[in-house]
Amino acid sequence: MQGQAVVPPEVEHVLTSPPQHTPRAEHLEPFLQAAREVLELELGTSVQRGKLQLWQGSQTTQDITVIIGITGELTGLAIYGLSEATALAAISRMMGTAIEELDDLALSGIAELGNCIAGRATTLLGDRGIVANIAPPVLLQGAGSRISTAGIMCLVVPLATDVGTIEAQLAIKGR
Amino acid sequence: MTLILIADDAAFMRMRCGRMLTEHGFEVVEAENGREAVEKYQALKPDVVLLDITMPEMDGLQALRAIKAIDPQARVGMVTALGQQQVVMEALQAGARDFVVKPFQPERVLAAVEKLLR
Repeated sequence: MQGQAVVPPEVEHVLTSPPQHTPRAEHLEPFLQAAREVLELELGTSVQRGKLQLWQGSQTTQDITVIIGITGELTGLAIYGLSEATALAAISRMMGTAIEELDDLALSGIAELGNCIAGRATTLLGDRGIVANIAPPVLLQGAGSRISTAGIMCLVVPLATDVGTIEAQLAIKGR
Repeated sequence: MTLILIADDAAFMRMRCGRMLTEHGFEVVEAENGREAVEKYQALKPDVVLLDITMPEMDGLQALRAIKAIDPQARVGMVTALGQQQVVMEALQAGARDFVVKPFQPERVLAAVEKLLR
């Protein structure tokens, strides 16, 4: 991943007095809650949230990266990155059978996982009076590509599951 | 045989719903986006339509309105990751008769189809 990591105390400072293009904690929490709910239901796994980090600059993709555009009162990107091994283990659980290759159907399932998390997050945001919508997911296969978040800082949270770690990145700003 | 049209841009979701409904004796036809769903509705007149909302080319709400314009009696349910109250209300006002939020237990979709067929 490119950019400069900010240690947690500084993250906390930024979150309590966010500049214009920094995601806010109140926007992050619905995405984390949604990830926990969806991963528990789809993969039957508990989810342990790792250390929150704040990144500036472009992001670098993992083996599999799902990107979902957010529009409405929040704009930006929700990005979910995972290794090929984690993706295979996840889709195997979703399909109820061992999957050994990430074909188009399997990749569609991984993209749908991201879609469900982002969709659920917008529902939770709606409960807080924030109207947001999502675009169809885009899936990138292959590590090392750079994703620009157009000047929006990115909150990064590793989500540890039974099938491996899924890295959630949130680069959104409110209007 | 009862024909169900499943419109979802995710092949995985079409497979998952299609397999479950086929196992319960339904015939299934698929569409990858709203435009294709409208075309297939016009051509095949399925008994039930299950529409995703977030789809390319034409989204599910637009497809719902187009299908209801073709056939006001069309039995349409939404199956979507979007569960905001305003989206649910918009779909119901446009004529959807049920609303299933992803992720779901398979039985929930089956129950929606059976409700739409009543």
